[in-house]
Amino acid sequence: MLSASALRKWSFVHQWTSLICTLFLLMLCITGLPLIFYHEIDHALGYAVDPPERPGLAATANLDEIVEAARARKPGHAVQFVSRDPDEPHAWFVSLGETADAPTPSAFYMFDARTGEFLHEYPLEQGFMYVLFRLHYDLFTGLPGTLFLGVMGLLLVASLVSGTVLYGPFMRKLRFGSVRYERSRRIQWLDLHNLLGIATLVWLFTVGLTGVINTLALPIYGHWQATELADMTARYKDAPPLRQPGSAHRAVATARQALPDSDLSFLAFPGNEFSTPHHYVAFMYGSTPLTSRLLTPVLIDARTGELVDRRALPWYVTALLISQPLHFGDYGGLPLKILWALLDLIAIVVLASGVYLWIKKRNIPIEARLGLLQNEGIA
Amino acid sequence: MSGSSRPRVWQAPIFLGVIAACGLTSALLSNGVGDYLAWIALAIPVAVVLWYAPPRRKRKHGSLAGRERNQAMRDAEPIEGLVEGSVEHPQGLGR
Repeated sequence: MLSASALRKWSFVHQWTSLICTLFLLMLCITGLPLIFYHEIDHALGYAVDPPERPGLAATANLDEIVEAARARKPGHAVQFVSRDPDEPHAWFVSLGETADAPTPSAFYMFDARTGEFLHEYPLEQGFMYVLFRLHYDLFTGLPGTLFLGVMGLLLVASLVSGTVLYGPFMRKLRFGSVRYERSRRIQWLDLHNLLGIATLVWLFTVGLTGVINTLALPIYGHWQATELADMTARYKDAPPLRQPGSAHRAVATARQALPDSDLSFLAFPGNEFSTPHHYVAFMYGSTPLTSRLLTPVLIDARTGELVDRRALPWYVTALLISQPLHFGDYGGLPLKILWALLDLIAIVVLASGVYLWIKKRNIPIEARLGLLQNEGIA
Repeated sequence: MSGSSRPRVWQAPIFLGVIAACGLTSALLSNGVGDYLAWIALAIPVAVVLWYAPPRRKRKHGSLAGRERNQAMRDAEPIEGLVEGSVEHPQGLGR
């Protein structure tokens, strides 16, 4: 049993960590709800399309021709990435930027991986889902906004820990799941807050903590680039600048040859933040359910198309990559997404009831609240 | 006293927590069976909430009577809230 002063301290921590982050957490839960179904909604709205049925054709189109076709659609812009999607094996995706190292894409195209034909241009930075995404991701303010939301996530974690500590003394005289509807509305909502919070605790904790890790994506990749990638490419430091990168098709073939059990997730073109001025970097995913979430970078000389080096990503990038599915809930089919949405709705009720309880009882000391509870238990 | 009551308080939360953690991990480690396990495991906390959160119907009054009683209580609450508020605020000002 907690001492009275310890209880007061935990109550103070729970109250203030929650109060500071609740408004933002409510926003994150509400914007996050449709974002769970981003893929489905994009398809339904026509922002994304499926490649046409072409039975019997394999994904053998020449990537260099696709890259050329993409460049021709956006003259003067640089191809930054080509990527694959395990769920869309018949498509190549090409993203371009105004320059090779531009932080945001200027165009995103889908090509047929069997015929090389242009299929679709994704609208960028528009639409309702984009607004929701930016609110959820960075409040339209870039890295500072992302990091700020990360701090709010840390407060949520602190609030969950302190809330769990308080659950014990508050439930001492009650059976699990008791909601005292015969009592005042405040007591009802206290019981509901406790029940919903404790029943979904591990999910809340997981989504909160992985959300915090996701906010560190840019610093994490930046650190990887400055240390591991720089180390792997140290001998190219004084090489003359590359005027035109060589074949991307050959680079992908080299990477597939180097890691035969893996397939390409995305290929970073020379000069962007995932590569170097002299290399293609192919990020390969594994073939088991777990390793399909992890990436192994393969460095390829951009001029000759030859293998330079390959190394497993360090633990902090692996932690980030594992955090993504655990935050998005996109790793177990549509039923998992629906459960994610239901748990998110429960989280909204926990947050809102927390605010209600604070408004109702901020002037009652914790001893009185607990004392009230104990008398009830005896009665 | 605390020795006997603590396990009871934490029994269900620990059970639910372990189940949810298994579900969150299983879909990550295996497709197919892992996904099914995740669906079942994460449906459990949702089911627990849906089972316990709605007002319990009082059997001895009959289900309809129980519901009406709860409704009557809800209707009466704004008055209770007012009374509580008028008691609490002077306390708060005093501190």
